[in-house]
Amino acid sequence: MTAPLLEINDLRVGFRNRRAVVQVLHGVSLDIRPGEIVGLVGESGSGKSTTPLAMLGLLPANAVIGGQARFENRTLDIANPAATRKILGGRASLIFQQPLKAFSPYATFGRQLVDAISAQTGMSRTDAGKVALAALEDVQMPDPEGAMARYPHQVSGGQAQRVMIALALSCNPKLLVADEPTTALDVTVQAQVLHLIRELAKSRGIGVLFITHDLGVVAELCDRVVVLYAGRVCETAPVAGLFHHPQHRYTRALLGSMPHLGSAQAFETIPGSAPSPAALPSGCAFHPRCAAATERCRTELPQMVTTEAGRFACWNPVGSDKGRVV
Amino acid sequence: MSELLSVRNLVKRYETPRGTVHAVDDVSFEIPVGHSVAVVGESGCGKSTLALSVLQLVAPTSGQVNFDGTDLIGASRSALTRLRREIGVVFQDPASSLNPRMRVGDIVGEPLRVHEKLRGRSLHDRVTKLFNDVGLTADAMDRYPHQFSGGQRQRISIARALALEPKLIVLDEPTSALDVSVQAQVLNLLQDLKARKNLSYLYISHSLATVEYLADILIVMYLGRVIEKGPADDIFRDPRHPYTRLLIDSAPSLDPLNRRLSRPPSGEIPSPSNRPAGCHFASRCSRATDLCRKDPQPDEIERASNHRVTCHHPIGT
Repeated sequence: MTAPLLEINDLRVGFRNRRAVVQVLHGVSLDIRPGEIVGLVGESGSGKSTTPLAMLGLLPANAVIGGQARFENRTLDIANPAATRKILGGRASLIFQQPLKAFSPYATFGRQLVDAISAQTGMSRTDAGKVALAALEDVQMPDPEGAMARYPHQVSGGQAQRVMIALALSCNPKLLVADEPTTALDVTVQAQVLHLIRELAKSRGIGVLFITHDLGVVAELCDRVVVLYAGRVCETAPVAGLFHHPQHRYTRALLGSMPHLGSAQAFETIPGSAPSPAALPSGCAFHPRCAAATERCRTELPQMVTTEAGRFACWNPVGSDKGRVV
Repeated sequence: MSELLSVRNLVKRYETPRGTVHAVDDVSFEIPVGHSVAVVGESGCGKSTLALSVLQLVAPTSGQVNFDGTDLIGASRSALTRLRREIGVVFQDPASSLNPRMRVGDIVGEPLRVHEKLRGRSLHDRVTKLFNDVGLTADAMDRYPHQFSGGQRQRISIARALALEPKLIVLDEPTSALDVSVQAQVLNLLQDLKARKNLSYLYISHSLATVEYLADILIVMYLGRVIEKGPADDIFRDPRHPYTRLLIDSAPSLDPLNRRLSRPPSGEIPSPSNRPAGCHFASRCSRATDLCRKDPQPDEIERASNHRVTCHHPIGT
């Protein structure tokens, strides 16, 4: 197996407010290999947006960060966002959920692409323009020359997302962090953008961390999945294993509550809603919503168990229903 | 089957400096009592304008919207006020459709204060009952919207929509702002309320999976026109319009071993202000012929019982 591109161990993040520090991540570990697409799944308050921001050194000044990270075999000082940004700056790119809000409405795409590329690489504006045009061609933007002259309001959401991906790829990143990049898009356009991300990751060996709440997108796109709940990893496994043999009770319940075509009967629901980081339940944070919770789940934090199929932290995993841990 | 709502040849056009936007173009359908009709389609297909036209929150350019025997479009102000009690509405984002400065008990009770002039004990009792109907306890009434999670807020919106015991509820993407685990709760609640209260729904959504769960009748729109409509089960089992097929094939499956997106669809939806001649879908359609690219547009044809498709070359011919 290839060495990881990015390795994060025991990432802890809290946010200081006037009264206290609200702990949002309680020790998240994950790794991404070159060319691998890792899905990061979770609900509101799970830490799925904080994790990538911490990784990229983009958290605000009131964040209290701890943990270890390595990128391309170099140690990252992850507690120091400025130092992290310096190392990752030209090697990692981020694409956002709402492409039209990520661009300035006042400048053409061409100008914004050229600004970013020349600032990042020190190229002349003429050369940066050639790179920008090539990047737009790589993302199969219709009429790339015309697109350079257009303003964000003149294109559709799907096209703006292509421009954002072009911008993200223009500096040849090793790591691409995609934060819900297709949530705001129509379903046929989403299918195109997912396909594009997959092609680019595989052909260029870019490691992708794909953040989403949509398990259908994960099933279509990702190689491996990390499921977050209340600031902790509850399960991580290759995508087929996770969907067909989930171990953590939360993973299983989440899959059961996901509407998908051909499921016209009532959904299994998870009672209640995800806890606030400021008021986490004792023991396993999922226990108040879990139908299979035991006494131990209420009092003791589950330990991470590693199996051939993956890792999970659950005192009463799905596999134990058959009298064994798969 | 008696019809609660009947929409006939509804048209809504907007004149803009860049030309006419055909938001809703000659749409007709019925909602029978106790049934849910879902309208699906992508951005710009006109599904939200259609919902707003039914609510009379936008004035249609032409056509008829007949509710329970009265034409809403020609109706007087007082008649509209009366009819509006019969139609509830739940919007997409509960965070912006609930007044942040009102207690949620007052939000749910407001329609009862305005229309039924309820006060004091009788108002409190009705609101308590509404909270129970949507799975909230009465002690929540004194809190403000920001003190609730997204799913609970949407339950409050549903309670408000139910307050005047409407016959029809317009649901405009009611679960798309919610977490997955909570979305399922709200869909189950809507299904349960429909059965318990014999409600009819006009359900606007872009999510085919939730539509399959909630809809009896399905309407698929593309650039302002209905391209397929019929019993939801029939359409999901046997879609006839190539666009419906494309929508179904573009929805992610939940099986990583059976991925759908190996061949993504090509092209994007043209602008509603500059629709192609002939069948508007022809520019993206694999079955299109010269006939499709020329006016007039294809007529609606009945393929099976109540299953109608607007296509020159429907699937299965």
